[in-house]
Amino acid sequence: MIPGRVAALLGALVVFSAHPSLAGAQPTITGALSFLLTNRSIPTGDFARDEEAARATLDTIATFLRSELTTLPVASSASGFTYRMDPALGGVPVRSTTTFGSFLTERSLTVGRLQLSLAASYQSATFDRIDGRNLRDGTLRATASRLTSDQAPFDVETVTMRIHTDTVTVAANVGITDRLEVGAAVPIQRLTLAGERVDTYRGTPLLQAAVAATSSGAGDLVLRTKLNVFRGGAAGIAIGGEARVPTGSAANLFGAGRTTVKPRVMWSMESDHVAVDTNVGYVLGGISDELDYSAGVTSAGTHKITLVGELAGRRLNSAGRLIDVITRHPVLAGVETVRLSAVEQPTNRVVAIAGVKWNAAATWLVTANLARSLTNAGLTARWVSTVGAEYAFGE
Amino acid sequence: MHQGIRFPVLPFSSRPSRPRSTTALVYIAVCVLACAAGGCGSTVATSTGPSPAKCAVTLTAPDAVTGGGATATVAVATQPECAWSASSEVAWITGLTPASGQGSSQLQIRVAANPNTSARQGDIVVNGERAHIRQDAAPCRFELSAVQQTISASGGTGTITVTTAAACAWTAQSDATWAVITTGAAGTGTASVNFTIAPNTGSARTASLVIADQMVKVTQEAVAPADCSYTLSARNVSAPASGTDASSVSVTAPPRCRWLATSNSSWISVTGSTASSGNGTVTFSISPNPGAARTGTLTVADQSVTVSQAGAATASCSYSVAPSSVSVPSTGSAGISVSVTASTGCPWTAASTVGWISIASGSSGTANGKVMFTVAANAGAARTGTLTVANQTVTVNQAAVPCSYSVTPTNVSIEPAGGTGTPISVSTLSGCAWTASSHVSWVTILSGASSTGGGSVTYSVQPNTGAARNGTLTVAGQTVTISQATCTYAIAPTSQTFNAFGATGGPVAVTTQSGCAWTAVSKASWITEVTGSTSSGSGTVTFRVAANTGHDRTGTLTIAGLTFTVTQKEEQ
Repeated sequence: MIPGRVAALLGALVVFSAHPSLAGAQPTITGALSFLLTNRSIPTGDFARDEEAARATLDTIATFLRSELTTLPVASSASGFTYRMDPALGGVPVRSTTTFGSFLTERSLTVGRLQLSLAASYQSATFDRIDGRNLRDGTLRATASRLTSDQAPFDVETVTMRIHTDTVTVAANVGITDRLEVGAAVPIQRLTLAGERVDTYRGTPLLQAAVAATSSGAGDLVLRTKLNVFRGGAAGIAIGGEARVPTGSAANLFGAGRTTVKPRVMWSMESDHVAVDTNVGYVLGGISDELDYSAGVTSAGTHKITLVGELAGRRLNSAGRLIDVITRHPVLAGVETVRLSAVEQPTNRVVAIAGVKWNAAATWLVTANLARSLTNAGLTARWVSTVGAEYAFGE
Repeated sequence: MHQGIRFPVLPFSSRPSRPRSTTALVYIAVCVLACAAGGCGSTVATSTGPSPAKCAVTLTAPDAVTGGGATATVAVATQPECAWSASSEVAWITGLTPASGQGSSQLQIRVAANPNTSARQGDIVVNGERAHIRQDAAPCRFELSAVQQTISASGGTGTITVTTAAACAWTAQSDATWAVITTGAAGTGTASVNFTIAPNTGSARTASLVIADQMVKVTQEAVAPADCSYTLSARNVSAPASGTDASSVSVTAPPRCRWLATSNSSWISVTGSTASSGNGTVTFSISPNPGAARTGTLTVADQSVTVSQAGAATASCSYSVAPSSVSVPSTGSAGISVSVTASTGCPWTAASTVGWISIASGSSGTANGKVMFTVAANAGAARTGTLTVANQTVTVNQAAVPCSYSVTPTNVSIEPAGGTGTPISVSTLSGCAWTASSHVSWVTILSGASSTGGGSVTYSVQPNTGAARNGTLTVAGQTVTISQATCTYAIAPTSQTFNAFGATGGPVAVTTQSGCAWTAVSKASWITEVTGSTSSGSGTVTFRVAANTGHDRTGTLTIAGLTFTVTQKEEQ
């Protein structure tokens, strides 16, 4: 019965995520971004270089968005209640830990044989910086021209963007054996983009383009598995894998457009009321190969409340960084052109998370956390808040 | 060992709590279907603003340019990053320098002389902005029919015709009391100045008439010597009504005695010399008389000769001619006719007053008739002539010939050293204006940048230190190509061999064009005393080879960029 229901639910997620009418609509967010970042009004005399810079900028910003929307770690759906068969009780499943686990860092423990857990979370983020540059105060310079004798440009084109995402993630996890579990998750996202491009020529600003775009849809489907290979005393080690199937619309930045695979290792150490979990994984494919690492400390303040503190890091090998490229104007003497462009280089992103998990009733968990980026690479939000609920089919 | 909190549970498949699991599944389903219920998809709204106005250009033109032409400056004001280009919309504004630029600048222009007596305006266009260049009218120019005249000792009258534009004013003054301007002391446009010369009782004298700021020299002959006596062969001459071309009066006088012959009537013309000394003959022609009998005079050696011409017409005769004026193109025309209407028996004649109109037929007739005449081609400015037909004037207006220009040579070769090239000759009609300009910086117009009528253009060419090059001039609207070769060098011989003893080498002949510079440099320490190391044009190089105490050796000199090889044997 359970495998049948789970299979049906997972199948529904897959079918839903891959539905063409939901995943491939027009117009697109990348189209809106392209409109905002190209068609620049400053005559630089080098259209090919302008186009190249605009495309590089567009690709980088799109990559940043995708890296936030499509590759963020999905919260462990089975972290609240984990079970193991207790031979002393005749093989009856018993809870194997007092804490409810971290948000992003997987525990080495598995959910338990034939145990099913379901989870849903809602995350809200408003991005206000890109590579440390403010997106919202009109200082993000796309193109500018200046005299070589002056530092201040006489003609500058700035871009303002307000990017907001709402993400609902639903996940399911089931234990195949006492040490092996499989799961699936799918994010459902809504992305809102509002932007303006303003040309300021010798102190006189003039709006050149404005765009408002909203897109919603399913992201890439996440399939994962975990095998507990060592469980001794207070420690445990598990290996696992996570695959992301490109069911999300790449044009709307909901999907990477390519399958990614992430093998990883999970290690846990627990005492009566405190647990430490660490994960290391390496992502292959997708928008960029990346090294993922995280560590979480959980403390069971009471038997119903677990406090969580986490650090999650990512090193993306080719996400790129925004730079200002300064070139001499090919026609006008004494004039330099400054273009916002991008270079491909590894970037590091670290997020700190603090939150709480509350056993509201029976096997229901209510979760809430706040995340803050500790680095300025990529697209960053001041605060990212997440609330969710988990339900384990156990007693 | 970590025990954890134990919560005994049953496997999901055996648990009775179906409603709870159903609730959870419904919860998840609601989440999954939320997207579909909300309508997954995208909406994008875009808008664009107007293009910003950048790089506005402001032009400041000079108040006015003088009619004689000049260079002027147009101020171009714009932002420093703004590029601009300038062009002229009229042919008489040329030489825009610089023709393009960036930022504020001063634009030099060359305004040609205004050939018209009215002001004119043309535009300079910079990035779509216009600067109006206004030029004053051409200055007045005056032409006099003569700049000197000779009057006999007995005095007389004279006439100088002033030709100028209608609006040009002028005055006439005499610096001598015996030369009095009778009419035309001041005038506007084309008119005549008449003056009277009093009899001279002394030696020859000269008066200056200043007419339209130009001097006319009037010379009056001295009174004849006391022993001069003049005898005329006739004091009265008769002529038929049809006139004659062969009338004459003989003058008998001592060899030193000068005399003059002048006509006092318009229909009597002195055809031979009007001044002579000693014995001589005065020939004159008498025009046909279309009217009643008439009398005129000649003054020959201060004596009057009366010419009586019979009348040809009766008193009751009346005449009319048509048309009274004819316009003819510059190419001329033949077979032009004028109809004469007269009563039966009324005679008439037709004659041209100018040489370029000739009567083809009908030079005389009776009653109604027709005069056919031919107008020669006009090689100059527009002109007007008249025919006298039946004693009435028929005006013939002929258009000017169009300006055309011949420029030679159109290809000039210049030595690499540059200098002054062959002058470029411009052939055209008088009054036809033209200009010359250079399109390359290395050719400079020295003279003839603008002129009227035939003329020439001189120019200088800078030395050519690079590759061969071509430049162009525009002369009278035609292109003249200036080709300047590059310097070429040759040396002879290219090598020399010496024994171990020191010696003087060379001479090495360097052949190149005049003005082409070259150097000679030794590349070996034992080759010294290089002469002619710096020169231009063809020349020679010598050098000194030191004694060789070692083995065979080879050294080089670089002469005019070419390698000269020196080989020296070891001591035998």
